[in-house]
Amino acid sequence: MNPTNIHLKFGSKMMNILKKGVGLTNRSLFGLAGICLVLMMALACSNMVMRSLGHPVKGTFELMGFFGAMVAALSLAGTQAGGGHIVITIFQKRFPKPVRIVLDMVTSVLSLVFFGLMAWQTWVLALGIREFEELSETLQIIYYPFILVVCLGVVALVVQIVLETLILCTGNGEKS
Amino acid sequence: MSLTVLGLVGIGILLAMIFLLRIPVGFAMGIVGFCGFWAVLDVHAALGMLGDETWKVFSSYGLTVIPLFILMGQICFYSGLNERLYRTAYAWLGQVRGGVAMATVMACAGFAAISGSNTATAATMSSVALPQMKKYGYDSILSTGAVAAASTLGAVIPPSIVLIVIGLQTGQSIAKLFWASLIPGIMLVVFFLLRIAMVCKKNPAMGPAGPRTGWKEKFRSLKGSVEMIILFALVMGGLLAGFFTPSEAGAAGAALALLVSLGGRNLSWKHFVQSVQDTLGISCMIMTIVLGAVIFGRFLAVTRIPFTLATQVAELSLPPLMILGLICLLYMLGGAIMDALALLIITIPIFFPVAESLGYDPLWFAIVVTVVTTMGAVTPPVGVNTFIVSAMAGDVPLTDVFRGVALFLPCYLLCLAVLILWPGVLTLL
Repeated sequence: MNPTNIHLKFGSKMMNILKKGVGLTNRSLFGLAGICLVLMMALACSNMVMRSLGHPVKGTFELMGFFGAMVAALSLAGTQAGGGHIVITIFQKRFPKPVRIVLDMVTSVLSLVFFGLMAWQTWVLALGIREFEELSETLQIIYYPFILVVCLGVVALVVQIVLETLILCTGNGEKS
Repeated sequence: MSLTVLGLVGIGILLAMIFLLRIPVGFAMGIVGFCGFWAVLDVHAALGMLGDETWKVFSSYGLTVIPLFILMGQICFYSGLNERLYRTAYAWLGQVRGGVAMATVMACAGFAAISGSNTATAATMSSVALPQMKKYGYDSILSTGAVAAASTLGAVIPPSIVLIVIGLQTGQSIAKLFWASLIPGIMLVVFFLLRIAMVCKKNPAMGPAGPRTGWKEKFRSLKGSVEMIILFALVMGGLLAGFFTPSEAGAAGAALALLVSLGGRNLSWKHFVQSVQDTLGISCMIMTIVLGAVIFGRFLAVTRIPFTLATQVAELSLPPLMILGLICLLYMLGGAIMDALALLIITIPIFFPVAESLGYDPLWFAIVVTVVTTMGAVTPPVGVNTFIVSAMAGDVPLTDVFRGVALFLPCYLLCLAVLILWPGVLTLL
């Protein structure tokens, strides 16, 4: 076996490991987002029932917002992997395949930089809130961990986009 | 470069990115908005805005309404409510000429009253109704056109995700938007039914009558639509009576849909998991667009484009109705080439101030643009619903589906004409 083949085989094996790892992470985060969604539903219903009995659940609106943030952020990578975002392909599909691949690479790089900056800035925001020991308005609890969860979701999206870019670079096909 | 020119360049770059790069709409809006904000102010302001807005949008209590309403619709969808609604409508309407197509319209309207998803309705109603209409010798142009057109009702009949997003973006009451959209929703259903009757009267071979059903069977079939009526009454009634907020209405609706589905043994664990997964995917897609729109909106605000445009349009010597007609034409063309929700989110910050400066009621304007954009889901070249129906039908070419949809386009235009000529119609209920 010549060295090129060994390199190709190694690269392909690494890629498979990466795909499996990213897939597992996305599924786990999706699962957590699902739990948050169900908790959100249960919390809102409990508050309605308790409110009618004269004892509303304190901080419901605040907690709903935090759960909502986790639902959105933790499903970012899974939605990207499943091709769940709205994309307009009406003109692009008329271009030749090499042009489409180059344009997809441009898309990936732009998205990578943008969400990389977003992850960094949510991290900075969370650390700033921790430093000033800021508490939530109603429940008076520390809430920077929720911002860190949002940061985690954005990082997972960045990793998913990196994987897609690698697949494009290695010529394993276009985006679906 | 003046701020207005910079803003226009930003809008141009955004459109170029969306149409040429195959980039998700929400991503493109976020990227252009961020870069534009950076160009107008500085990089530190842009970076700070990015982190702040991401957290603010994702943790906004107002936006929790989106996943909860979607969950309600998905649970109903996976519990087979579509099929049960169709059976009810079929039992009552199946024996008249064109009745199976009318039953399809009624079932789509019923499902739209629970879910806000056009595509889910198009996919399921295609699989439920098309084989029936084929069995009774319906012309494929009428059958596919009826399914494609009626499945757009999800965006108009409340609770509609499109209306929720418009409400959140423009600061209008979601309950009022829901209530106001009931009239155009009912109007569209009635117009669709009348259109089917007219088509079948002119050409009876297009929609022959199905077999008769007895009264016993008719009443027994009503059992299948009871949960839809209860859910709709709970959500709309509770919202309008002020018993709960829109988010609580969504949560109560989802919880009730889950209980009813489990009680009726219509929802397995696997289907529940699928409904949660689909909810997450759709909600995330919408939240990403909303985040992108907020960032893009910040850029537009610093360029003062919406205000400049509103002022200049108000100073034009054209009659307001003509300007409204031009805006509607833009929405019609835009709706034909891109998704209704994305189009509305991009354009509302630009056109809403214009409509307000012309003296139009924001509630009325929201409903009009929703109906106009909804048409886009069935008009070429994109027409998402037509693609779904054609794919589900298998042996019906896309051109036939578009010909079928063309039968129903006058209904949308008639509905729009009523809304424009008689704006007070929205407050009839």
